[in-house]
Amino acid sequence: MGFFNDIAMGLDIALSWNNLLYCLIGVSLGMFVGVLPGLGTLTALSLLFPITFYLDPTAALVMLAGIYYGTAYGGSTAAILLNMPGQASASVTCLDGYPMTQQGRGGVALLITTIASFLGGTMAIILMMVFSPVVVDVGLEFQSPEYFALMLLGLVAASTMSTGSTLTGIAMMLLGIMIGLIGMDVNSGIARFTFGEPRLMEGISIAVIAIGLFGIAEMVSSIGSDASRNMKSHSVSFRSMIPKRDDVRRSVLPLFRGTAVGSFFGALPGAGALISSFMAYALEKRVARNPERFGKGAVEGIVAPEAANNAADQAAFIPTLTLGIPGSAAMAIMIGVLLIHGVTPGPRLMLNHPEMFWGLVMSFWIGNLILLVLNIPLIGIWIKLLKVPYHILFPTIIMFVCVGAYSLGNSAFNVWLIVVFGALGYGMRLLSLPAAPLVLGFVLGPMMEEHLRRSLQLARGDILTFFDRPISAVITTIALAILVWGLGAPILRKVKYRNSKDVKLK
Amino acid sequence: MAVGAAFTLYTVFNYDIGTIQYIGPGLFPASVGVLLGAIGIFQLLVGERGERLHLSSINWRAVLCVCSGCAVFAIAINFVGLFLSVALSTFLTAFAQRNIRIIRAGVQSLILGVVAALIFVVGLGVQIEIWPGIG
Repeated sequence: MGFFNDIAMGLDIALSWNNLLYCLIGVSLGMFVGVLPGLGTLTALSLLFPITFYLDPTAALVMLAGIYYGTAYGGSTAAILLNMPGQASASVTCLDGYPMTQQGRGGVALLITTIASFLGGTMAIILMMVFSPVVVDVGLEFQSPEYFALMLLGLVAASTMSTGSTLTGIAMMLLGIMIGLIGMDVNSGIARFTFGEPRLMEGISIAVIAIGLFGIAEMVSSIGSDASRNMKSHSVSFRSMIPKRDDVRRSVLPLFRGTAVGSFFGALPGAGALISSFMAYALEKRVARNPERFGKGAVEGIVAPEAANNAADQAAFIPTLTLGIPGSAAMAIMIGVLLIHGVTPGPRLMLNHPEMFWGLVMSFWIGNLILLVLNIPLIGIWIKLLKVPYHILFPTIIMFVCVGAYSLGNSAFNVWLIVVFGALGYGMRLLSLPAAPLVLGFVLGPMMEEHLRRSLQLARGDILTFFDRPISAVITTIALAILVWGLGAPILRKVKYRNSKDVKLK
Repeated sequence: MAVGAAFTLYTVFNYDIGTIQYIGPGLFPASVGVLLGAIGIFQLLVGERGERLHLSSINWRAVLCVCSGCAVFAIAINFVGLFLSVALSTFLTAFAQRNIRIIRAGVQSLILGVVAALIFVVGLGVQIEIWPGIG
């Protein structure tokens, strides 16, 4: 019965005018960001991060979350109509979505993906509601060694699954940790890496890193390439959206499968909407009775990935809110918001701030509903939006970047830092170095150090303490296993390749 | 390879502050640094073909404009207030685009200056001077 109390309380909070407003803003922005190729979730989240400083934490999270899962709705629009994904996770939707448009069934595709997104997302929310208390209970048993192990797992997973080799991922993560260590050391009071600059004593704000690394780097990369979006005017009328019964029949199972895949991968640290959508598509193809239909407008090919990526986005909140472990850079930003407002993420969050937790979860429902409404009738508007010229978008972003950064602490120093990180981010893009592990390393690094220190103190220097305790032993083993796999798999592949070449030569 | 070298450099930095104490403030950063350096050296040895960074493929114009635009903001904000700073920096950064229309960019910057003032000062209550003397 406590469960229903929580839900009621959450609804109460989520339906307050203030939170509703920010939810609306968030999801609309999310749709906007999702629809436009070239504007990414991370960029939008980083840009709005400074603004959240002035909001109360629940509203801030509601808005940012709205942006986050909103993008999963919008990404499919451009993918279906223009064969150009607005979000990376929508790339798979192009494969069968665009052919559907070519067959004149674009409206149907849009409607079905919206519904699939909605159902996928809401089912994941239910999962979240049911499982979170359980996870929190387990999480409360956690002490420093477990936390350290879990963070290690998250970082390792993120490094392994990021673009680029595992080694580069790890390197980036280490770099992130080092940047995170800048500032005063909590245990000893010694200033580290500040090079005599007093303004660095507090460390660098995550917002600054995010804005520079994502916002500015994105800008600089995209300016040169002005992808001309030739809009073949496929007018989408309301009636043309109604699907055939056959479509509906075919969509049911892929929907459930997609949601399952998405929820699973979304909750894992390191994996997210992108992997989920690809996996869901692959699964559908594998399971389908006649897989040749894929790539030519098979409904299953759009339903599953779309359900998956929405489910993944929702599920990603589970580890973040229950354990305080961000599974991706975007989640790290959410954690950053919590930290800025003085809320400590972790299992205690649900206990100490139940209104925040349940309010947020309920706002997910509301947000998804709003998105459903926004998507179906207003499709025409979103399509027009695709024509927004870049030269308006771009200075606006710069404005947000500069003012936002400055407003965090009223310091121009932050703006300089943004320039530095922007340059770094751009350089990283050029060298194909993944940015997500860096952000995660930055957020988790200092925390990891604290837990490591504490664990060792409690165990009086015994490193095996991580393996003595059952939970942390399991987690650490998994983390090491992933690490080994990540490092070893490419080598194995190379060896196999060389062997097969030898065979051919004979 | 350039990447690897850069990393080794980072770790060298680490050392001078790092080994202050045993399990003191230095241990963690030092170990992180060592790991990074190891990866760097490893990549150098294995000859991991990192992306060649052709100097020509860097969008220098964009980099310059964006960076200087933000820098201008950082300097200007303390002197001339929000509106002018935003207008100036957005105007400067607009030059990053190849097909820039100066008048259009100018108008946009002014509008953005107003928008910034509205959103941040009026809407959110941020304490920034909009114009020297106001706000």
